[in-house]
Amino acid sequence: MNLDLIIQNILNPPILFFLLGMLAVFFKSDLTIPQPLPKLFSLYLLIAIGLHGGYELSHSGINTYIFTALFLAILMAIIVPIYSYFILRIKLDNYNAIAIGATYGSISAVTFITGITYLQTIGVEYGGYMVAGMALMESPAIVVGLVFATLFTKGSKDEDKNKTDWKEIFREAFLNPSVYLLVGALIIGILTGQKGWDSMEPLFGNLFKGMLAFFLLDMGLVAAKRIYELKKVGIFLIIFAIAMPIFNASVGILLGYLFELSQGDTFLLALLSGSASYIAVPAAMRLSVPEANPGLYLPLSLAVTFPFNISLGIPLYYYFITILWG
Amino acid sequence: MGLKMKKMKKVEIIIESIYLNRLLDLFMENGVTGYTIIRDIEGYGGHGLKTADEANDFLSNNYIFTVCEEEKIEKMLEKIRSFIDRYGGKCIISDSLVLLHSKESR
Repeated sequence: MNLDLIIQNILNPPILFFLLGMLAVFFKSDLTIPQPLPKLFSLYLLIAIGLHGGYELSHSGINTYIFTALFLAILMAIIVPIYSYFILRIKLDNYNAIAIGATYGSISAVTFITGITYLQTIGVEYGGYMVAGMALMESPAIVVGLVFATLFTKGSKDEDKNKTDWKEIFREAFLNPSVYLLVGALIIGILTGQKGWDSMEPLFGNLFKGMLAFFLLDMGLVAAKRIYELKKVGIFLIIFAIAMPIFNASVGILLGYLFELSQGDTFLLALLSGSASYIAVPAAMRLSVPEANPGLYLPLSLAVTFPFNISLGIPLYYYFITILWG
Repeated sequence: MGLKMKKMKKVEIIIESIYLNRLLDLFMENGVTGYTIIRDIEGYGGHGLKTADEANDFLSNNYIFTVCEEEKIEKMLEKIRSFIDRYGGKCIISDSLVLLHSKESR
């Protein structure tokens, strides 16, 4: 793989701040970011990405190409948790296979956002509708997880304990804060178009990379704290947490190629397919499959897949694309 | 004039924040209508270190306490036990004296 692609990605201030955060934990620095701030940054990033995507959608409108891109996004979000479950069942019990499968079936918004900044750095165009694709990819894995939980774990405990509160869980799947805010900002972006974006750009456009750097600094701290938990996870799952994103991204790239998506859109589809959720799905799984161990699915997603994707995965997937497109 | 005190049970529960609503539903179903919640508490236990400063805060712990009559808590005990069997957490019950408001002590 071209070393330049990796260097171009890593020598991005937000990625370096992520590494700085990780090093703070390894060197036992007292660096902390007060709790409400990372939440503010994550809300900011979701609004910014939603607004910008909506604004671009208001320009492009909906056509067959966009419909295909969104269809592929949903398709990946449905099939990844299904085949991941069956792979995980080789070594794991039902509960953990369901929860980890769902975690890898869903997406990480920050990985996507980092991918967008990478495309901007190397000057590759992408469509704003991929933000809608990201929003659409967040929930299907939760639904697949819930269906699997109902199908494969029934009868293992008494009825009362297995009572599923579908209303609560569907609310978690479709109205969780990140999906809600992202879709809301996307709609506001579509409704207000160019004029709306112009008025919002000073906050949600110009400051974007700085806020991402701040958020990734916190993510570095969080991810590094979880690395210590990997000792209990086992080698099979650590290999899974790196091999599965590469495989999923490759399937995404192949689909993008077959359906003639642009390089930028295929890259984002691949990155979304290869990313794993660390907020929405783990929260939904904790509610619906409490028997699954969060000590497995959270460190895998946060401390292995997320750092891998934003450092090596991004240039790797882009490299695959340059090979295929020639 | 002596101050009137009432013997009651103090129930303290530590659970992951994501299960808070389910616990509060259980309280309501059993007639416990008053409680205090302290969110995002930190500590160390069976699940390792629990911090309160992470972006994915659904795993952070909450502390809930209430005081109620002994009969009420006895009726609830089995339900609380199956709750913490399924969702994890700790429940501590202790004897306590509640200082009554002047209106209640008349």
